[in-house]
Amino acid sequence: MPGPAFESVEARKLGRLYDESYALVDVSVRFEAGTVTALLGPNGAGKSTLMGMLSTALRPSEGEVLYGGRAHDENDPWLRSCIGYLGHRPMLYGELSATENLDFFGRLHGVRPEATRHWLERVGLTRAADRPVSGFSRGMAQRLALARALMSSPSLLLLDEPFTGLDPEGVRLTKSLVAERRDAGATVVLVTHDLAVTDDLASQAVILRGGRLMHAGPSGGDLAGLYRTHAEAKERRTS
Amino acid sequence: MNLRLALVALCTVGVVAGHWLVFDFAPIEARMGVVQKIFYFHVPSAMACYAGFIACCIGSLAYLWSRKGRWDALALAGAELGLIFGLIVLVTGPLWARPAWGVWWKWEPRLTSMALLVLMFAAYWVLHTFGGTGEGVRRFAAALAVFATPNIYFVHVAVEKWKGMHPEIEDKAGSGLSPDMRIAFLASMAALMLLFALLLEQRYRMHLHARLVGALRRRIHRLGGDV
Amino acid sequence: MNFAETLALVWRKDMRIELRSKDTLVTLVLFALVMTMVFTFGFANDPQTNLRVFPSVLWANVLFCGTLGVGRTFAREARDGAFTALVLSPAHRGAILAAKTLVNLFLTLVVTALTTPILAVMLRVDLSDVAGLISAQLFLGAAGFALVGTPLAVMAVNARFAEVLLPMVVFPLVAPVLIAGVTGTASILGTIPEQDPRPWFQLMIGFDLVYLVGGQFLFDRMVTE
Repeated sequence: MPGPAFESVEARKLGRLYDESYALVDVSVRFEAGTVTALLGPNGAGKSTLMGMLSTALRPSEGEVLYGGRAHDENDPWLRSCIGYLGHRPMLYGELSATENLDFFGRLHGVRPEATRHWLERVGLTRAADRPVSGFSRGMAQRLALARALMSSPSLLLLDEPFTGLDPEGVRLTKSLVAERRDAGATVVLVTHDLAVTDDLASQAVILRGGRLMHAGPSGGDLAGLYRTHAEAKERRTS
Repeated sequence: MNLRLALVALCTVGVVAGHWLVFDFAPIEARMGVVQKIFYFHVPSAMACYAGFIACCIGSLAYLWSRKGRWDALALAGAELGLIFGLIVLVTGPLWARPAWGVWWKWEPRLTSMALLVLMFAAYWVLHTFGGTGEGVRRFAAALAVFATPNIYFVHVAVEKWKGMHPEIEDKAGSGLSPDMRIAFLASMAALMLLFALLLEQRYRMHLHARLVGALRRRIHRLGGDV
Repeated sequence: MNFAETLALVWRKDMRIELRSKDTLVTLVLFALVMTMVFTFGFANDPQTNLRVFPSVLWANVLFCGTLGVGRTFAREARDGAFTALVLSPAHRGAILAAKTLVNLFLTLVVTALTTPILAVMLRVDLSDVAGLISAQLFLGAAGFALVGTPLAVMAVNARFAEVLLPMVVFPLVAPVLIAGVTGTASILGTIPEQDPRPWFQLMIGFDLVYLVGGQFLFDRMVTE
C-alpha cells in the first residue's frame, strides 16, 4: 500500500459565512498524518462546517486549507481522490445492492474491482452483498458507507458521527478499521458525541464552540474532561 | 452622501420637468391623440427593465464565482426593479394597444418577449424570496439568472420569427417623432434611468443591511439575548 | 477515468436504477397518456382542427414529461446524499452532468416515442410522411429541455418546494424551444402558411449548443457550496 499523499492537513484562519453570519470564525488548526483527531463541540459549534471545508465540499469564505503544506484548487480531482468522507447521511443509492454501490464508487475512485469483495468482507456484509441498500438497517448502511469512504485508501479520512446507529460489534469494527487507516499513515478527523468510545482511539482533540476554536492539542486519554473544561463550562457562563 | 442627495434632487427635478415636457411641451400626436403620451413612459420603462435584468445577470455570474453576498444582493435588487418596470411596460402596452389596434393584447413580438422575460425573472424572484434562505437557494437562483441570459436572445429570435409569419408587425409610435417630442422623450428617458439607478442602489443597500441585521439578531439570540 | 468512461459509468448506474425501479418511466408514460386523453377530449372534432391542435398537444406532452422526469431523477440522487459522494469523487464533473443529461433525454424520448403515435391515432393525424422530420425535431427539443433542466434540477434539491419550483423556473427558460417546436411542427404539417421548418431547426440547434457549452462551463461553479 503506498504511503499517504500528504503529511498534514492544515486549516489556516478558516472562516465560513452562512447568510452573512459566521458558522466558523478564524480557525487555525493542524491535523498530523498518522493520528486520529476527535473534533468535538456542542450542536451548532461548526463541526460539520469545518468537515465540509476539509472535504472540499464547502468553499471557505476566509482562509484556506493546506494539504501537505500546499493550497489546492478546490476542483482538483487529484485532491478529491485523496479524501474519504463519511457524512451524516449514508450517501448510497437505495435501489442498488451493496456490491453495486461499492463497485460504482470504487470505479469512480479508480479502485481495482476486487476491492469491492474485500471491503464487503471487512465490514461484515458479505451475506447482504446482493440486497438493495434501501432494505438495510441504519447500522448496516453505516457499515457500507464506511466501506465506501475507506475503499479508496484515503490519505485524509473524515468521519462525521461514524458510530450513529451501530451496535457494539459495529463500533468495535469501525474503530479497528479507523485505527488501521491511521497506522497506514492517514490523517483522520472524527466528529463524535460518544466521548467514551473515542477515548482510546483519538490522540488529539479539537474543540469548537460557537464557530470558534476552543482547544487543540493532545487528548491525554480524557476527552470527557477536556470537553467539560472547554465546551460546557463556557456554555454555562453564557446561558 | 452629498452626492446621493444631489442625485435625488436632480432626479426629482428631472421627473417633474419630464412630466411637464411630456404633457405640456410636446405636441399631441395627430393620429393617436393623447394616448400617444404613454409612449414616453412605456419605452423608458422597457429600457429600465432590461437594465434591471442585466444587473441581475451580472450580479448572479459574479456571485457564482466569488460567493460574496453583495453580488447576490445586487442581482436580487436588479431582478426586483426589472420586474417593477417590466410590469409598467406590460400594463402600458395594452393601454396603448387598445386604442391603437382595437385589442387589449396582441402577440406582438416585443410585447411577447417582454412578457416571457418578466416571467423568467419572476421565477427568479419567487425562488429567491420563497425558496428558503440558505446559500444553496441563492446559488440556484444565481444559476437560473445566468441560464436566463442567453435566453433573452433566444426568446427574442423565436418570437420575432414566430410573429414574422403573420403580416401584422406594426411599428410603434416611435417613428416619426417631431423635434419637440424627441426632447420630451429624451428627458423622460434620462429622468427614468436616473430614478432606476437610484432605486437600484437603494434596494441593493437595503438587502445588504437586512442581511446584516438578520445576522446580528441571530448572533444575539445565540448569546442568549432576546430580540 | 477519462470523460467518456465516467459518463458511461454514471449512465449505466442510472439506467440500472431506472430499469430496476421503473417508477419514473411508468409514471411518465401514464402521465403522458392522461394528458393525451385530456387534450383529445378538449379538441378532437373535425380533421382540420385536429391537425391544427396536434403540434401544441405534442409539445405540451414533451414539456411536462421532460420537466417531471428531470425532477424525479434528481430527487432520487439527493435522497440519501449520494450526489454529494458523486461530486466529491475525483470523477470529471462535466461528465457527471453529461451522463445525467443523457439519462433525462433518454427518458423523455422513450415516453415521447410511446405516446406520439397514440396521440396521432387519437387525433387522426397522419404522420407517416413526416415521421423523420418530426422525430428529428422532437429529439432536438427534448435535448433542449434536458440541457436546461438537468443543471437546474441539481440546484433545485437545495430549495424548499423543489417539485413546484423546478417547473416554474424551467418553463419560461424553454419557451424558445417550445415556440420553435410548436411552430416548426405546424410548418412541417403544413397548417400554417410558412412552409419552411429549417429556421426552427437552426434555432433549436443553436439553443442546444449554447446550453450544452454553458452547462459544462458552469457546472463546477454550481455544485460546490
